[in-house]
Amino acid sequence: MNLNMRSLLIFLLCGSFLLSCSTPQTKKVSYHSDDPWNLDIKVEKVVLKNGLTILLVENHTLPIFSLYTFFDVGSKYERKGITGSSHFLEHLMFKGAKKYGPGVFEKAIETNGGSSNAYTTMDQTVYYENMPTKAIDLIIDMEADRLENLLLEPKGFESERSVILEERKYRYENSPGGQLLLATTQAMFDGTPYGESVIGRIPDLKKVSRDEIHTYFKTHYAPNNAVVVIVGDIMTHEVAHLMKTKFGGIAKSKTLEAMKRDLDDAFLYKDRAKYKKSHNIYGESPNPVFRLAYRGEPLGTRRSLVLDLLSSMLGDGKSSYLHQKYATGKKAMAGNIYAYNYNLQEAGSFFIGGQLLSGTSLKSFERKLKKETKTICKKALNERALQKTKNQYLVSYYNSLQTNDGVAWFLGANESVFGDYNTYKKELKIYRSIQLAEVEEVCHSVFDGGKNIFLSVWNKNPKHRRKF
Amino acid sequence: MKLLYTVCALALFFGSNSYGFEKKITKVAWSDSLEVVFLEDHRFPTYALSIYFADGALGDHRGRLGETDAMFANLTAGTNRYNQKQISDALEFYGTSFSYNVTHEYSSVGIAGLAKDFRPNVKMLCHLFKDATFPKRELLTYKRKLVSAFESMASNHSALANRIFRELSLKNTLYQAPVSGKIKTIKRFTSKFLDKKLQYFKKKVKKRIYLVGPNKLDELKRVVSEECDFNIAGASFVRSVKDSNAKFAKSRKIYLIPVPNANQAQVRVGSYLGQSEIEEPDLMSVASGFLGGGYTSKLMTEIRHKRGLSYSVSTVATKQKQYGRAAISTFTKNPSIAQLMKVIKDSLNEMSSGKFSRLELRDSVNFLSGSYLFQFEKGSSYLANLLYFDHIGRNYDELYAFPEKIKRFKKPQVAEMIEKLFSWDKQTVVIVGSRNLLKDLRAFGSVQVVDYKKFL
Repeated sequence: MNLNMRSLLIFLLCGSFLLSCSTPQTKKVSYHSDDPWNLDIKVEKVVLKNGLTILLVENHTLPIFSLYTFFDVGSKYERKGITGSSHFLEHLMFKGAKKYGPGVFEKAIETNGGSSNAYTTMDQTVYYENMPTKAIDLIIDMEADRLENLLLEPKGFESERSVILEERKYRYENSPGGQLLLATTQAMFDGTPYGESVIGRIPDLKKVSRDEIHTYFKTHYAPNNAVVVIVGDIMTHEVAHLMKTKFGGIAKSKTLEAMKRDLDDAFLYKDRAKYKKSHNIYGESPNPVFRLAYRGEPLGTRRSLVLDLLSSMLGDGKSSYLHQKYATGKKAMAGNIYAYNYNLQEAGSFFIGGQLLSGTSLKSFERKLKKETKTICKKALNERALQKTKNQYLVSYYNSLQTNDGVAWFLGANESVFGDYNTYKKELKIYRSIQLAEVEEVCHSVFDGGKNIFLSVWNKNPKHRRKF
Repeated sequence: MKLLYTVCALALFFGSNSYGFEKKITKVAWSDSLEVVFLEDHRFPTYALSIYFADGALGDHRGRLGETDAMFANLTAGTNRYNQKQISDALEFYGTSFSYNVTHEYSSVGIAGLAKDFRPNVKMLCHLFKDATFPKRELLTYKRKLVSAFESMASNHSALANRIFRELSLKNTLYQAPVSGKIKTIKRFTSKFLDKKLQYFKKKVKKRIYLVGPNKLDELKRVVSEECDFNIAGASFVRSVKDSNAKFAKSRKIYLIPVPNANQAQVRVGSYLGQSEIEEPDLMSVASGFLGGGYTSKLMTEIRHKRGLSYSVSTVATKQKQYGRAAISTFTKNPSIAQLMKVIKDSLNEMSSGKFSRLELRDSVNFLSGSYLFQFEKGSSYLANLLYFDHIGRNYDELYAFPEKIKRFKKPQVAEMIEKLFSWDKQTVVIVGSRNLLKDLRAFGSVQVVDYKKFL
C-alpha cells in the first residue's frame, strides 16, 4: 500500500486551484473567473483540545464523502531492528479494535457501500475511506475506536506478517522498478533515517513482535499527531460536533513534541551519500532501467518548487527535451525517459530515469547522459517550455480536484506537512513568479560539478547478493 | 465538409432519486454515420472528449495483428504540416492530454484539457485524422519500443500472466490475438498499411462523439463542421461477428509458464464467455463481486485474511458486445501454490453450490450498490460509462437502475451465475512462475508447460 510517490509529489508540490462558483449545490471551492490561478477552497478548520486537527469541506453534488486521516509518522522514525513498523502497523489498523473487533472494520466499510485503504511513506501514514453519506457517524466512530483502542490481535498479526513479506517481494525484489527505487533511496540517503525501505528489512519483519508494534503505535498514534479531513455531502457544524464527541476524549501525547524534535534533528539528515559512483544491480529486466540521481531539496522551500518546474521542463511529455533527445527518432536510445523531483520532508533527490531500448549500450548511454548534463541547462530551458509546464500544472490541478477524495488528500497533505492547508496559495504565487533565469540558476546548481550517482538494474549486470 | 445536422435529437433527463447521479444527457444523430452524446457539466472549466469508432482489432489483417492499435498510437507521429515534436508540443502546451483505446470490438480516441482551449485542441485532433502520414522514421522507433516493451515483460510477471492468460483462455475464439499484436506481426507494419487503416476508419466506420464539460453543443458542432471530416456519407460500418461461441467447448486446462528466478507464482483462473453467457451483465457483476470484489469478498477472506497466502486477489466478469471474460487474479509464494489452488477450487465449488448465507450476499450487494456512485464523480468517468453502455447496446436508464436492481437478485440466481462463470471444471488456469511448481500443480490435473516467448 505504498503511495505512488510521483503522484504524491505532483499533488503536493504543484500550485493549486480549483473552482466551481457556478454550482450552487456545492460550496467546496471557488476561483476567480478571470484568473483561474486565483483559487479558494472553503474549509472549516477545527483544532480539538487534545491537538487533533480537523478540516471539513461541504460538497453536496452526490450523497458521498471521503475521509482522510494523516498521521505524522513514517519509516524515517523507525530505529534499527524494527524497520517496516510504520507500514506493518498500517496493515494492522484494519485488523480490529475494542468496539469494532477483528473483521468488523472492513465489513462495516463494505456493507455500507464504501471502500477503504491506506499507504505509508517515509514521512507519513495515511488512511482513507470513500463512503455514502449515511455512514458518516459509523466511520467517525470506527476511526476513533481504532485510534484509541487498537487490538493488535495475535492471529491477525501473524497472518499480516506473511502478507507483508509477500508484498515486499512483489514491490521490491520482483520488480526492476522497485529494485531501482530501493537502491536509489539507499544510495542517496545512506546513513540518514531515509536510507531504508518503507516496507522494512526482511529479518526485522520476521522478528518484530506484537509488543514492539504496540509500543510504536502508542508512541505515534495520538490525536496531536494527526490531521483528519472530511470532504463531501456533510454538514460541517454537525460533523464538527460529532468529531468532538468521538475524538475529544482521547488523550494527547505529552512526549511527542520533544521526541519529534530529536527525531527531526537536521544533523541526522545531513547528506552522507557517496557520490560519483555507479551501482549496477542484477535484476531480471532484459533492458536496463536506470537513474542518474543528484541531491535534491526538502519539501517547502522555494528551490524545491523551482526543481518541480525544472523536472517537468526537462522530462514531462513527448515534446520535452529529454524525450526528444533520447526517445524519438532513428537513433532513439530509450523507451522512456523522465526527470523527477523527489521531495521528502527533510531531504530530497533530483533524478533523470528511464528504460533503455534493447541494443543500447548501458555504459555508452551513461557516458552520454552525464555529458549531456553539462549543457542541458543551456539547451533545454526556454520561455515556452516554462509556460508549457505552468499550463500543465494548472490542468493537472483541475483534474485532481474533481473528486472528494482528491480535495481531501490535497488539503490534508498541505496541513499535515506544512501545518496550514492554505499553503497551496503561497506555493501558487511562487510558481507563477518563477522566471526562466531562476530555473536556469537552479539547474546549474544541480548538474554542475557532476555530484551524482548512477544506478541501473539489468539482467546483464553482475550477479551479487544485495542486502535489502 | 458540411455536416448534415440533426437527423434526430434526443434529450434525456432523469429526475433525481436517492442516488442523485442522473444528469441531463443530450443525444444527437448528425447523420447516419455520426452521433453525439453531450453531458453539460459546469463544475470545472475542463472538458473531456472521446470519439468512438464502431470497429476495433477484429478488423486487423491476420498477418499484421496490432495494426489498428499502431494506427491510433501513431496518429501524433506526424502530418504533412507538422512533425511529431510540433504536434506533441501543440497539445502539451495547453496541458491537453491525448489518449486512445483499442479493443477487439471498438476503438476510441480522447482529448481532455481546459475548456478555453477546446477549439484549438479539437482542431488539432481533426487535423491528425485528416492529414496523418505515419512517418517511416517514427514508425521504426515505435516498433523498436514495442518490441522492447514486450521483451521487458519477462521481468514483470504480473503483466506477463495477464497477457498469456488472456490468449490461452480465449484460445480458438475470434478474440484470441492480443490487440497490441506480437513481435512477429509488429515488424510488418508500414506507413502505407497504417494510412489504409486510417482511411478505413474515417470513411467506413460509424462514429460517435462524447463530450463532457461547460462547452456548448453548438460550439462542438461549429468546430467539427469547420475542422473535421468525420461526417462522411456511408461511414456506417459497425463490427459484429456471427455466433462467436459456435465452436467453443470449455474444459479445465492448466498451463505452467516457467520464468527464470521466480520466487512467487502469478495465478490466473478464468474463461471465455460466449454470447449466451453474458445476457445478464448486472447479475454477472454481483456474482464476481461476491466472489472476489473488495476486501471482504469470499476469496479475499479465504486467501488473505484466514491464511495470509497472498497480498491481493481480485475477480472480474466483464461483458463486451458479443463476448465476455471471467477472471480471478492473485499470486503467492512458491511453497504455497498447492494450498492456494485448493482454496480457490474449494471456494468456487462452495459458492457455485450455494454454500453461503443470504446475509453474506446482502452485504456484498450493499458494497457494490454503494460504491457504484463513485464512478460518477468525475465527468470523464461518467462519459466512459455512457460510451460503454452505448457500445454494448444498453439503455442509460439501466445504468441508473443498477444500484436498486441488484438488491433484488436472489441467492439461487447468484449461485447459478457463479457456476456459469467460474465452474472449476471449465476454467483455464495459468501459472507464471518457477518450473519447480510443476509437481504441485499436477495434483490438480494434467499440466501443459509453455514457453512465455511464444506469447510475445
